Amino acid sequence: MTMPTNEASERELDLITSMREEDDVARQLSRHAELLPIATGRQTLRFLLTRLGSMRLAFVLMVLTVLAAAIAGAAVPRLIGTVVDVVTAPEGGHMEGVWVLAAVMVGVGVLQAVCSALGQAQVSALGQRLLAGMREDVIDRALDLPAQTMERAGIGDALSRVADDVAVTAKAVTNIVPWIITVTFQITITLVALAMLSPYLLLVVVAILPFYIAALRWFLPRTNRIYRVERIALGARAQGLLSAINGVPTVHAYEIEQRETRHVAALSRSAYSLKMRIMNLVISVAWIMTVPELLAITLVLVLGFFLVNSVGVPVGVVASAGIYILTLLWPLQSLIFSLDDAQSAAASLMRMVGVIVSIDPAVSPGPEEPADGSVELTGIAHSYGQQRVLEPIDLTIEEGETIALVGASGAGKSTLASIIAGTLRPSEGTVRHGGADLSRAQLDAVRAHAVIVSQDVHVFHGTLADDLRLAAPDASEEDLWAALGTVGADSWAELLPHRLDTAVGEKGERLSAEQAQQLALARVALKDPAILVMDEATADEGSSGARVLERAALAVAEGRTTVIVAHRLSQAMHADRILVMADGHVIESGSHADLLAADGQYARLWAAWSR
Amino acid sequence: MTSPTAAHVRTLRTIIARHPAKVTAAVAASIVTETLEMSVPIIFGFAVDRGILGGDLTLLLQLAALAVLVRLVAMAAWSFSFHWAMQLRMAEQHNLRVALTAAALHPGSRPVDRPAGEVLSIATSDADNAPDFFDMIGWALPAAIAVLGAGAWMAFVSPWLGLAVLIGILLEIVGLRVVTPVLSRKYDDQQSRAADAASTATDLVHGLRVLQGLGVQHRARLNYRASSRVALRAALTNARFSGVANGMMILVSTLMIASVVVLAASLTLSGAITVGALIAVVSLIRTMSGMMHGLSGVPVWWASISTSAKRIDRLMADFGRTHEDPVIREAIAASPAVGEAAPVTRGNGPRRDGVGPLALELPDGCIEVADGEVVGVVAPTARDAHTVLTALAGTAGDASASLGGEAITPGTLQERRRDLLIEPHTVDLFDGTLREQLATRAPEKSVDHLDDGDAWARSALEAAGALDLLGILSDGFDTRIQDRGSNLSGGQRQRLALARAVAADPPALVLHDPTTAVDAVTEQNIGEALAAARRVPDRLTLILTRAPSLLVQADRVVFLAPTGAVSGTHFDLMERDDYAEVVKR
Repeated sequence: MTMPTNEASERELDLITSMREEDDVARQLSRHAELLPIATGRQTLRFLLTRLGSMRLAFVLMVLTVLAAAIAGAAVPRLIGTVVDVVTAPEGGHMEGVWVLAAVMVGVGVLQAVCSALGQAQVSALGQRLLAGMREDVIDRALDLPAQTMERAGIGDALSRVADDVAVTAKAVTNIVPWIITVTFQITITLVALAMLSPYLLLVVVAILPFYIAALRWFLPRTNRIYRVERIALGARAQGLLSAINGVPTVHAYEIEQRETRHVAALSRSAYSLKMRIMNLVISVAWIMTVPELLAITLVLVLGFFLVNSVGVPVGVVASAGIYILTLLWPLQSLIFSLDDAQSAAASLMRMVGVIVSIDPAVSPGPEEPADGSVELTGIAHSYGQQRVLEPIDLTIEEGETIALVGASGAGKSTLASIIAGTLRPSEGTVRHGGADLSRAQLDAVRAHAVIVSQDVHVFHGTLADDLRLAAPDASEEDLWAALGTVGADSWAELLPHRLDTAVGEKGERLSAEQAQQLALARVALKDPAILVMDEATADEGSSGARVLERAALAVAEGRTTVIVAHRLSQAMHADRILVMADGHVIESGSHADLLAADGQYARLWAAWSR
Repeated sequence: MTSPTAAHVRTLRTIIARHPAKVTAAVAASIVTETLEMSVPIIFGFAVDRGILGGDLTLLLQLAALAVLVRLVAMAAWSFSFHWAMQLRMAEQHNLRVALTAAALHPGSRPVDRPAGEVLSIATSDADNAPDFFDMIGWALPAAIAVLGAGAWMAFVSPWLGLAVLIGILLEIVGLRVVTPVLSRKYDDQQSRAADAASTATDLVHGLRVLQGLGVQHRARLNYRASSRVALRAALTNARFSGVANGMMILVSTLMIASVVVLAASLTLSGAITVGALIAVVSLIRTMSGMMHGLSGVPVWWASISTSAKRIDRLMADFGRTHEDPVIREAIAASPAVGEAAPVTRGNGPRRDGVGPLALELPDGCIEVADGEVVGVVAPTARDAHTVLTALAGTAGDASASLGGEAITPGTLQERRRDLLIEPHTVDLFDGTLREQLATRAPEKSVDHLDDGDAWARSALEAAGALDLLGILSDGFDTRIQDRGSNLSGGQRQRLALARAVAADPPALVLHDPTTAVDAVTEQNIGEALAAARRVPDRLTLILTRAPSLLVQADRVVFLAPTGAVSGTHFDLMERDDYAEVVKR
């Protein structure tokens, strides 16, 4: 049963694969361009060698074992050739010689089997260890990605580095890397063995090697470029799919299911046409590699004729040589096919190494430690690129003081809040937490000292207790319940099927937005910071529970230096000090009563609000 | 309903059935390739015997030319079969992906209770993996035929040789049956541990802002390291097992080679076969064992293909879809060519006429919104709000809704949505420029009207209090908004979604808490502008909210009090303590 529609798509496919379409695809994908760094091939190689250097002993052992296996493997054709010589000996063949050789062959086979088993395990182990170290480093760096980078790049790129690239590399390390390494040894040893049969056969090796090298030099750069584009295409495809799947309610409401399906299909098609280009290159390189194969077969026969008939070499040598050549064909061919996956993995590797070597791990810029919960901003200003979002400002917040930031969207509230919390480094000026200059402070001390709760709520995989213990690893069950109690979450947590041990997050119990926000506040209670910044923490109340969250926020803020980005004036009115912001400036500052008395912007807002 | 054991057959059968001719051609060409490749060692043997040992240079050259010719023909056949198999594989990877996407997005599909990440992984990894089937049958089947053919040739040379080869093949099969399940188990274990580590990584990056806000990067790092180490241990175990399995295969094939060599040697010595046949046999057995080594990986390969096919089948079944559904087939047929961007305004019709009134029958009273009206609805509890929304979806048990006198049911909703836009509270934005976002469902006329340029888009932004976006975004209307609006703040996303709804200009618009992520100042502006934009004679608007700045602008507010729905202006209702308590914040 053929679908008529598919005929059309196949015709289209033929057309596409015949076009030079990488440029089109590249243009289409440029919108999904990378924002995180990618390492060069040289950087990647240097990185890998450094890492291997630290596993020197295991590496040397691995090489020796794989080498032994390859040598044992190469001995078999030689033995077969010797059998032929024994049989065709001019003085008449005899079976005893054959039996001895067969026994040797079995012995060599056992050696080869044992060494191969050990070798494969060693190669895999080395690769897997290397990979594990790298994926941990990638996550390390991703966790320290500056907020600003994340805002520009979105999390899509970071996600594809830690998920897709690691997966692609892992697949290669498991499936093909051990194989490529052992086959490379096999091929090399076989060529050496061929040359050792008779110096004349060295001629064969010399004749065919340049062809193989040329084939690789033709193939690798071409496919490499496509693989890099392909990786971007795959990232874009995943991003498009995920946003369509997550956005199903909107897709349905706007009747855009066809449009979004086509959007995903277009991204999928880009990836697919790139892959097809690679397959066509594989076919071309296979044809190129046929030349040395044919040359080798012909040369062995013709050389063999002269060797046997003029030089007096035994015919077994020719037989061995022939077997060597035939033995080579298969590994060489399949090596090309695995280059495909290997290169795909190399592209991923470069992206992983790019993150590891170009993004510096967060280190303490200095030894200063905050002494109390006060905050001091001196000459703070901030720009995103060319755009100034925060004009120079000085601000001192006393320990235990509560500050509310009020203003329209884009007034610079969130920027100021992030700078106060220390998660955003300002373009100009100095931030001091408890007297410690953040640009000269001890990292862990600062991180333990200040917390910012943003509107982005996230419930982590694992149990409810795991999620809470992110904030306080050593917290006891009582501590956890106490924190849940503080934010009024104990009532629903009690009702979860396994209470604290209930799986939550994407694969577990789904928590409502309100519950997730309560959880975020409970983490703060456990973390117990001196400085707490709440940006939109209670804003997205949905249709209920705003007051529950507001109470929870107040309970958590108790006794801490608190900065609230206030979306509701009710949040602002109880603050010790209210800063009214507009266009990156603080235009009014004072208590609720002061500002009402001043009869400015705040007073006008309040009048509109409370009428 | 197909029985679960045969489940994977459905997807695989579908993808083969779509290309019967090409599959047949690819397999046939591949059989030619593999058979010809097997004949090269035989030709070589005779060239050595007759040409070299016989001292006949002409015959030698002829046989060499024959070997070259055979290789060339084999290569040509391979090129075709490989090209076809790859084309099929990639076309079907793409088709399966489009089919799954279409099934996931189509409103007629059954909703599935699976995490988005799982659907994504089936639509990417499994859709990529299942069509490897083409790769496999395009190579494994012909290779197996070639191995059997070579065995038959050996049996023809001498029954004893045939028997030795047969025993070797049987040994290998028995070995595989023992080893494969263990290997598959270890491999699956490794894969699932790796998947766990990957999902931990994804989870941490998704929650990155939360982690950084809390300053607990170090703890997160330790969590990931723990799952990465578990994955490493599983990988090392798998590596040891597959190493041992590989060693066993080498041992079996060496034993087979040794016994064939001994047999062939004694046959030659007894004069039963020629030296040429001896060389041919020993060369061939070496080639065969290489091929059999390759074939030994097939069972594990097949296991992974059929697992993927099963997962695709199950997901399609969960959606209530089959590969033959017209919806799915159309989606595949309509998938765009390379470089062609998805259309932006496709399907947007002309401006729709008014369809009012919108009427809701709720357990505690009713709400009616006539054309030209902007009505606020205040629900004191989440349950009340939920009742309103499910009534509008036609899925509430104790409540119902009608538009223009016609009842809304899940069946009619798909048609109704042209006139009734229910903007979901959770904001979802899709890749596209700011202009494209707003044009999502804007009537064609307003978008295509050249005289006023972007006036339609500007007024939609204004109604949503989002005109400031034009100043903030570097390229104005041409700024690209990323998938999920990841380059905007929460408040910006919410206002953009609101502007998108206003630009759609639906006869009936339902908004659910449209300003929860917006600050007080901006909310004030939105209230006025939104009501002004929607107060058109043939347009009706229902806003489910508790924000006074929106309610004060509504023509009428319906308060779903526990004692029964009451209606009036915001100021009227403020006289009631229970209303004031709900809306005062």
